[in-house]
Amino acid sequence: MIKILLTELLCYLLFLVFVYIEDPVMVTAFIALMIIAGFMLKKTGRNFLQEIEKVYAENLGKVGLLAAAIALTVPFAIMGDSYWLQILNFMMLNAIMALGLNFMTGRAGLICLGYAAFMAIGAYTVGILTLKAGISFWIALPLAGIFASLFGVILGLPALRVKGHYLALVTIAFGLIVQELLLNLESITGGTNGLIDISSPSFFGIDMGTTVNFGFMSMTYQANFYYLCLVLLVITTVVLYRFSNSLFGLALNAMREDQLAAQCYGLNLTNYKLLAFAIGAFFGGIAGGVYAAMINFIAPENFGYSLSIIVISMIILGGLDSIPGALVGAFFLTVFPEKFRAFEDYRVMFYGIIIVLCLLFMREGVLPFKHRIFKPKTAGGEGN
Amino acid sequence: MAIELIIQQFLNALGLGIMYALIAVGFTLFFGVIEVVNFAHGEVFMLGAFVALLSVGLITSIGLTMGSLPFFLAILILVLLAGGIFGVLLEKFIVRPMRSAPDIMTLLITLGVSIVMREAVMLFVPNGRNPQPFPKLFEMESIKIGGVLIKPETILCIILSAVLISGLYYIIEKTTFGRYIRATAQDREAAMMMGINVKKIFIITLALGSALGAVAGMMNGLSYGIIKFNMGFAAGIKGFAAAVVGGLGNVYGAIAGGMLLGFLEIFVVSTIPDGSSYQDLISFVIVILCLVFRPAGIFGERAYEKV
Repeated sequence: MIKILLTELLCYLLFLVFVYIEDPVMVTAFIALMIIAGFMLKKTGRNFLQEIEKVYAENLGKVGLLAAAIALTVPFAIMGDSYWLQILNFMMLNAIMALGLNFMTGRAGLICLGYAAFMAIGAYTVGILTLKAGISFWIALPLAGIFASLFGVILGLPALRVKGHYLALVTIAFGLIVQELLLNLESITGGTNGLIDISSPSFFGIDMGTTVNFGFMSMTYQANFYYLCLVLLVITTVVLYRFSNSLFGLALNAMREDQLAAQCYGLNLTNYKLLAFAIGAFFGGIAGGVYAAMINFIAPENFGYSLSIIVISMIILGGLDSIPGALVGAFFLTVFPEKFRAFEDYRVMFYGIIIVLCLLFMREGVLPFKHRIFKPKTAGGEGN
Repeated sequence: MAIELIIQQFLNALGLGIMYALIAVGFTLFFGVIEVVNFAHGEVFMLGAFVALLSVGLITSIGLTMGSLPFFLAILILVLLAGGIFGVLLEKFIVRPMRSAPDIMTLLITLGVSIVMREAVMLFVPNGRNPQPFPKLFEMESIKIGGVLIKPETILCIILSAVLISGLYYIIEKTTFGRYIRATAQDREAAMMMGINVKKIFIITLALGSALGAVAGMMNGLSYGIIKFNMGFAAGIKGFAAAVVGGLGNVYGAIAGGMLLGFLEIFVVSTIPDGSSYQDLISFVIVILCLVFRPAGIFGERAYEKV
């Protein structure tokens, strides 16, 4: 327990140091130092690493609870810096999307290169419902998820008959079709101009778009959304973790490894595929809905192909089918580029390079998926 | 519709279709022989256009006058070479190390390569972010048939593609080397046992397909007069769609699929009011429908006849 607390606090400290150093040279030095330290640890401290890994694996609930508790203090630790709060908000939305995509692509093996479309659908659902129908954000947000799920099922229908490369093609086409429709259905979506002035939600009478006052410290509106995103991220992680570790998750793994064999074991592939699409898409829709309310402005170009690629690169970096991997991938690929804003133009290329290098040299990602260990319920039961 | 307009549109469709066909042939060759889908193939198309653009200065500096036939041929050879070299590099550094990996990994890595290439052109070519005017590489008189003015570039592209596709046909069907390719496509292990150097076949297939894709990019520059760093994305998707519609792995199916897409696009753009805003959607809708109703492509019943 103390080990978990200490390691998590150490990571937190390193993160704060990273946030506070400004000079690009220092940042580079810091990252280089971290990488060297990582390698040293891997070389010499193998026992220590294994021990930590074991402790973490055994107390997953506590690890998550502590991490969430630490995350609660972040807005205070960074002195309510609105710029960094906004980045962390984006990071958490990206993490929600990465988790959703990870469920589809990592767990169920259904490659999706149009995931941004689900975010777009969620964002436009919230935008249209709150702007044109005057529905409260808190009702519109779940509807955004459900609507995205519906589109997930629609995308899943052709996907029932195709797999692998063909599925990649269908999902790219799906992403582009959604974007084109958003551009061309001007009467509903506002076309190229998008939707502007989406109102911020109010939480028990408090407008989330205004400054919050904590008594000793007042923070810009991003702090409100920070806590909203954090709650949603925790819910997403827990829900997807439960799904993944259920029999349903195991069935999806079986389907990913060999569809024919899975079918022979009596799995109804139709249901499993459609469910995987619906669940994965749901979280994309939720992330989009929060995005719309946070930014107050959405346009089709925000949800292009490159966003889908960014989310894919997150789960590749973290390791396909690994929930902590998706979180870590989203964290690194959102937070790190921010320190190199002078190289903003190189950002997408950086994502491409990450994909290529990870797949060439580190196919399993930073935090590879651990195979589940079968534990018989009765002490005398035979394994398998 | 006036007959002149129909002829004009027919030629446009033929030009567009044959360009898609050239890209699709690459996809289908890679899939048939190496069993990979190369998502970076669309970027070869873009690469071809930019190599042609950037080598204009080089070729004029060795004394060939712009717009003459030798000039054009020199550029064409450079573009073919660039495509070929890219194919070889792709095989060596990307496709070969990934051979043991699951399909999804190969797909994602070629996707990564495509992003890196696109962004590299955007960042490192001078003023690469903006559309670049493409020079007239070959001066030709405008041709008039029965009062219809035909763009010479269209004719040039059609002739060039026809020559390249016949060349490909000759290589695959008539040469010993083509027989090796067909054998590898049919059964890799058996081909190896017959003493065919399969590794070499892989390299050459990728070089061949990429060279054709690069020429298609140059032709795109010729016929539209403008190129942009992100042109490879749509072209790649459409080329892949054409290959899928024709039946992945079937070279002649790919050509037919490319033609079909080209004609359908031009048909929709010219007949449906405001159709041009939906131009890109057509191929996507077609490919989804095709995958749902005829997953093996139109020539699916001949799917065993790879390459």
